[in-house]
Amino acid sequence: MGIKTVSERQAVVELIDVTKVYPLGKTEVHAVRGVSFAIEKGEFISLTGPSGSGKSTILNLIGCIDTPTSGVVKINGVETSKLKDKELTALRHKTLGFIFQSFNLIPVLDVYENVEFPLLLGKEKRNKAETREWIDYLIEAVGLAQYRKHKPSELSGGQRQRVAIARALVTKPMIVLADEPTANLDSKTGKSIIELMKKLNQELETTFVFSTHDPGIVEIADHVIRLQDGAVIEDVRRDGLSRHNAPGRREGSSRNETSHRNEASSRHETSQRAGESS
Amino acid sequence: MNVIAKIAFRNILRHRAKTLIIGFLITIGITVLIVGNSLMETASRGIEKTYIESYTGHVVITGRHDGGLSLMGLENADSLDVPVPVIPSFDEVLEYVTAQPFVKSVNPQATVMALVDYGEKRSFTQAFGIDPAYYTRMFPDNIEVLGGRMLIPGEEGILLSEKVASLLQRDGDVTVAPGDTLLLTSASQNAGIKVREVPIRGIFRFRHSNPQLDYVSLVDITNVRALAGMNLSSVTAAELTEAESALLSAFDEDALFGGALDAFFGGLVEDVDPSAGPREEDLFSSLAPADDLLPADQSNAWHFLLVKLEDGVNPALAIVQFQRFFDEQGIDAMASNWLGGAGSVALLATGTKTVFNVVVLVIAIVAVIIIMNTLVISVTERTVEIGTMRALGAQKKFVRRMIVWETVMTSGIFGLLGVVVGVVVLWVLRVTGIEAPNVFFEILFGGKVLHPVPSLGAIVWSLVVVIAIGVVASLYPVRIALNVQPIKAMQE
Repeated sequence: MGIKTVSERQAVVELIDVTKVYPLGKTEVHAVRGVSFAIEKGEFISLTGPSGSGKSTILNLIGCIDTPTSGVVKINGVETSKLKDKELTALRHKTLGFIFQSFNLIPVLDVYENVEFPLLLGKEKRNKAETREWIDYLIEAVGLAQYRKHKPSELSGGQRQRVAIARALVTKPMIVLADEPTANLDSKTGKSIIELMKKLNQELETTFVFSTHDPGIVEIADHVIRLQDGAVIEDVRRDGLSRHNAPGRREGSSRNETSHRNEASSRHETSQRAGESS
Repeated sequence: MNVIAKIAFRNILRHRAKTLIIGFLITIGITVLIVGNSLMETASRGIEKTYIESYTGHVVITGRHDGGLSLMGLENADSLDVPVPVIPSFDEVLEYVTAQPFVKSVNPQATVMALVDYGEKRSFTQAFGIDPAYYTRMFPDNIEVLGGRMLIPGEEGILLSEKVASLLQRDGDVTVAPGDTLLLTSASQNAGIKVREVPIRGIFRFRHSNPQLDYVSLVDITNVRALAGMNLSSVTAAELTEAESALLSAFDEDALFGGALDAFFGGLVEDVDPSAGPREEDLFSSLAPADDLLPADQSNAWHFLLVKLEDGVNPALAIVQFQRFFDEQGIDAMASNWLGGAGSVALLATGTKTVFNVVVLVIAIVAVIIIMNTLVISVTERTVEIGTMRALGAQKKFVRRMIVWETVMTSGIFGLLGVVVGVVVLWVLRVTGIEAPNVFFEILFGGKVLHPVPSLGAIVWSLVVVIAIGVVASLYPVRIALNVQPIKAMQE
């Protein structure tokens, strides 16, 4: 199999020179500084970096629940800053799935109802039997078949996160975003959750983007974007495919993992020096 | 079950403490509303029925006035200065009204307040001037004659109120009895003082009375017209025989009294130069109306025409039809409903209902504030949950509906509980009856004991109020909920 270029693979997420600045009293916090990268369909991507590196902010920007201060965020080719609240909500509903650090299940709904919930938000008419079968399949896939009628309060952390994964997938989204999905879990459970996500990624060909600072979990990802101080310091893909060239950046041919890392490190150092000198 | 309703219902159960606080308030509020409104409605319906059947009929026709007129006369500050207006073109009005097929009966009536003197004893009465034939036809069963008899058409006399009779007899040294006479005296700015001697034909009481009606006596219309200061020239002009005329013309008043008076006052009064001081005409002209200002003959004048309608006829429509006729004919008369004839006592019930409704409004405002406050806390506690819903694709209208559903459901459940409690309380009160503790409540209850009936109107009204409270109370919390951004889902 030959190496595919960006034009051959579909970019479902594109960030082009994105910045995010939060006002903090009289000062400003630069959470994201000129970040550009692309995510291709079916990838299993880890955004990694220390606390405050901008992982969650970037996920929020991709998830259309926050807006960039400058730059462009495109989801499936649609520039999100041009959409109104109603359109953004519809985009989130149809295209994105969310897995939260604190699970965020609706406490008054049981497992089945929590998984079903996103389907009830849309206007699409669905075949009831097919829907039920699909939800059952997801619940079974996350290993909670016997907990269908349990409320979130009756489940362990790991079980809750499994429900959240099933919920994130129920609308068959193009992209699932997971913000530190293992942060509130013990390492063993965390790893099993990531493996479950990976399995579903492969089975359903859904793009998974998750943030983590756990190196053990990062290893499972096939595309890793390392962040530091709001900037990308490394953008590597382990599948041997070409790195997506974000617009505004130099077009490159096929590179190996090391060269990507070196280039990203060198860019980060340059930007840090520029920051110090200013 | 709709997912919004499901979430709302389960959230209500989940936040039991808050729900119970709100629920308790709503239940109490609705119970008070239903019991209060049913009491008011029972009382006012009773008063309305009593007044329509026994005193006013469905429609009251009067001369044009600026308000404050009832069967008791003018009940405002002008009562001493302004005469009770008579119905213009009365015969024409009577003919038109009685010709209408929906009119069951009519009763012309006049009114005046008079002092009652019986020997040394004095009291007062509200004299209803009636034509007994009309009166008994319209109100065949509203009085109980305790002694003597009802007035006979064409005769002079008074059917004296039992209350007034008892006041005249209060010292126990006299007995007022049919056959006796008493003096009725009225006074007003326009008519001066009028005194009439009237024979007592009977003593009576109304079957359904109140402290105001207790003082009403039924008097022949001629005496009431005279006491009310009406121009009764045709009645008072006596017809004299030729012999009587000749006898009277033989007398010269100056000759009769002139010499004697001159002799008596001659020494006391000097000849007065008319130009030196005020003239007699100037002094008294204000008291003696000029001939051209005297009202036309009022020997057939009435203050009221009370109209009872056939069953099922809407009084409002009859009033509109009568008023249109008056306007078209240029008759300066007014038609109004029974309240237009009921005195201030009957209006008290309506007024009390208004006061009650104001109290309810205040309670409602307090309830709205408490419910709103509780909901705001509830929404604030659930920002992550709401943010999650928004992140998952819930539009703002979904969030709005969810909060409104919660409020309306809480209001509805506890509102219905309030209805049940209210109906039970009313049922108990209906069985036991509520005794009026004082005259005020006697008036309000339309009797000494009130047996309230649950009113469907009150129940519907209460539910409307509770739903309105729910919706209004949810407005601000909904606003807060709608401002919750999806990014809140990311915050722990």
